[in-house]
Amino acid sequence: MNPHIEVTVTPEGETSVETKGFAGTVCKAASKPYEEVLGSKSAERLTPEYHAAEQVAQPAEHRA
Amino acid sequence: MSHVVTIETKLRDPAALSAACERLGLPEPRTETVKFFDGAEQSGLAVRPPGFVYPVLIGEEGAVRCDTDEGRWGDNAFLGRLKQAYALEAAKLQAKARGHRISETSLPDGGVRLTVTAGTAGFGTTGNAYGGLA
Repeated sequence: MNPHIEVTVTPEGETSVETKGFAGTVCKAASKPYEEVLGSKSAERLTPEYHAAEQVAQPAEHRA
Repeated sequence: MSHVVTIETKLRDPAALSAACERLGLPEPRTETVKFFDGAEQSGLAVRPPGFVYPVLIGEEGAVRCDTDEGRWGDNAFLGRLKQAYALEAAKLQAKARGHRISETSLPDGGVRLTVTAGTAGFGTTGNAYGGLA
């Protein structure tokens, strides 16, 4: 899956920003500019894929 | 999928607010001082939907005053539509400034989904690229 961001806005004006296809924590940096222009963050949920990617990435960082 | 963030939409950027009004077929918002029914005078960007007794006033930091008297002086659902249009246009402005591609899909429940892709350049650095208020 190519990395992309989905911004969903309800008819009541409630907004959610969801990242898909990113590896690890880079998804946060990618979506942050969009979150900032839309308003104030009221909730955040990290998905299992987020943590799984972090666990894979850590050994590589230690070797560097 | 990596994370999901819920945002409370704040109408803080005048450029996105103007684009939202255009999207809704409304006149450009103008800076006004409005005296409301309770006698309070407030200044801000005034959005004037048809049929409203008082304008929807957007003050500092996106604070909204929308006096519809429970629907008698204007459609209560309008504020939701304004926030929706604002969020969509603010995201589009951000995507345009960062060189991202964006596509829009209408959802069955009246919602709208924007899909943002970055192409070969990637999503790059953080920060507000187009100058709207963060």
